[in-house]
Amino acid sequence: MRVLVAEDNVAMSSVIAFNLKKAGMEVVCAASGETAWKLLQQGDFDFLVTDFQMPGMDGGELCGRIRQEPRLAALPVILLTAKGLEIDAAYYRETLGVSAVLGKPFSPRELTRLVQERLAAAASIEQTG
Amino acid sequence: MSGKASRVDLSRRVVTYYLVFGLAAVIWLALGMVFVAKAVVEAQSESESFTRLGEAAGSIRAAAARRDVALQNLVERFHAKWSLAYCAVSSADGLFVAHSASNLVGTRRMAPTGEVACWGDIQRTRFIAEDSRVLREYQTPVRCGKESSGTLIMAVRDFGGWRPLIIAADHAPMVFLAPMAFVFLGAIVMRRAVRPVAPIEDQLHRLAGRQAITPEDIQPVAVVDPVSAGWNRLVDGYSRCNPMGSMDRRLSQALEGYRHHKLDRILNSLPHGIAVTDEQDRITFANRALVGLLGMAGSEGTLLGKTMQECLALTSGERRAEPLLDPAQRGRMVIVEIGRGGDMSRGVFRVARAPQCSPQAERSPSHVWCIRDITQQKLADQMREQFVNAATHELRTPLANIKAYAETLALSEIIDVEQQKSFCNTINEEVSRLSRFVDDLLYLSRMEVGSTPLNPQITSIERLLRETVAKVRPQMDQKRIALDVELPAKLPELVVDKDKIAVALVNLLGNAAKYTPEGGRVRLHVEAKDRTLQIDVEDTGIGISVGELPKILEKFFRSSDPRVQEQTGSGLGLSLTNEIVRLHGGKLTVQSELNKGSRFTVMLPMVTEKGKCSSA
Repeated sequence: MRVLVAEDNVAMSSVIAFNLKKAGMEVVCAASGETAWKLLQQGDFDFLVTDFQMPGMDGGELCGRIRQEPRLAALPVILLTAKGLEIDAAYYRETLGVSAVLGKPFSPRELTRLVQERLAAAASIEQTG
Repeated sequence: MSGKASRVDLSRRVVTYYLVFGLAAVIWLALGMVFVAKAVVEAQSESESFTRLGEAAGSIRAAAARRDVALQNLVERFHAKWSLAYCAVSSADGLFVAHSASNLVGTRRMAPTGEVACWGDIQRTRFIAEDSRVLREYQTPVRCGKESSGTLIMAVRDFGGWRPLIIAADHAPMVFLAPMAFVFLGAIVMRRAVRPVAPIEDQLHRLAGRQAITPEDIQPVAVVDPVSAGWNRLVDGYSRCNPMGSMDRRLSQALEGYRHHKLDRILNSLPHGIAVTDEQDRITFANRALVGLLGMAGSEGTLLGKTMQECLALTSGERRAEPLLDPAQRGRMVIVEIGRGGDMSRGVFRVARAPQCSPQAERSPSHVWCIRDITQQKLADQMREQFVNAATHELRTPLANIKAYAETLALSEIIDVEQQKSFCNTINEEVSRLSRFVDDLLYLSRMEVGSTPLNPQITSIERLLRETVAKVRPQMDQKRIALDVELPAKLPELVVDKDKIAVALVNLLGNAAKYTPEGGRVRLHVEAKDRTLQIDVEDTGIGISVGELPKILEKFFRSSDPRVQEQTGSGLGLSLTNEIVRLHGGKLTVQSELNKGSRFTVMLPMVTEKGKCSSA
């Protein structure tokens, strides 16, 4: 399972990567929205974990773009944000199909669990569908 | 005489009436005279007749006494003497014994019938004879013999109607002409007396038709009598007291104008733009502030007649302007915020439009507009939002990291020792970072609010500078940055808040070190001139772009340049420094060129005595 982590804060992306790798996933880090977008288009990823506030293209814009791209439209996404209640979480979950919106500070274990769950669900759908 | 042709003047009327009645009186008088003449003549004739009758009777008696009974001769004599119509004596049995018309002697007397009057024995009968003459016959008993008595009869002609007239005519000059002359004379005199009243009457006639009387309506007249004099007094008095009337008018006009002017002045003094539009939305009034707001100062006149939509560049495309263009909302108060000229980035207006109270509610009413420039307000709102966002981010990011690393350390089963140490260090760093941020934030907030007062003490600037330099040198040395310190030979002791100035200097020098690549130079130059201490911190670092230079001192502002983003920083350092300098009454300025370097200059007023320290 390849996971792309888009996060401008190096310390944060490191600890996320550490945890996901511990769970057996392959992790690639991108420090900005643009970098993430490029990597998504070029590579083949099964999951995207993205921060919201990033310089340049922010996480919300990135999600929007992904959903418009047919190849990536079904890519599962988890959104991380320091904004907490100020962000319209429902919009991202319902309209842009984001699996979960996590407010910072969050538990990396929780994040890992959510990723695993989502991937498992996707896999079972593939199997049955 | 002026006036309507049908109208007859008083003077003419008076004179006419006078003449009419005067003449009537005179004519009546004349007629009266005629009658009087007639009566007099009659009376005269009557008495004459009586006298003659008496005479005749006496003569006959005398003749009878003398037995000289020549009655006939007597009768004839009388008839001739007195020009009688006839004269006769009749006997007791009614036969004429003598008659002036001798052929009638011996005939029976036929007593005439007519108007009879008696005076004792004398009887007079007025009758119309056969030849149509009016005769008066007198009869009286008379002794015409010793024993016989008869009746003496005398008839005279009654005077015809003309006789008295002729008599009267003799007196005409006296009776008729003289009074006439007097009457006409009187008319002239009266005319002259009444004439001065004519112009007065004229004016009164004119006034009768007027609603309001102005002094011009009443003119003085030629003074000929008390009436005209009185009139002139009246005119004079009126024109003197009437200035009050016109003054009254002028006063109320002036008051009206003043109120207008006052309202105008009030409206033009308001800082908000006020406008009034008519039913077609054309501007009928615009105060000075509005003209200024719309950027048309000096051309107030050109606003009138334009529609508000034109002036505000309202287009149906702009969603915010919709309520103003919606016809259904014309009767209601509408408040919108729109961009200047349709562009929010050029400024924001708060436009309030209220319908003018009008009795006819069906027609689309005219409106009153109040327009305010809320650009500053909006910017302030924006900044506050930015602040909150930034603060949130800066607080939560380190917390997230701390939690993530702490949890990972706690829950992960296999982590090698090096990794563990690294994680713990990261936690430490994040805590420090967070702590610094919280300190800065609180410090800055408190300083802005004013709850951290300056603690000015007499300080050795030189020592302060050297201490600061010592603090930052390790940082500089690490990046092999050359730090040049240029201090004047003698620096005075100044009254400053030592700790705060130290913070400011450390910040500036720290920034210089942070944002200057390896091998660069930093120059600290201090000089004292004109009672101002000037501190320059110059570097050969990455510099600041022209676009970001104005914002560099703003709270939380961090350049989007990746070289800056790489470095840790809360964006509060420079605003903190700026605030400290400001509190000391000084000024912080920045000069920079991208990729070349920056120079931060602090100017501090030199305060050498504690009492004279000016705190912000």
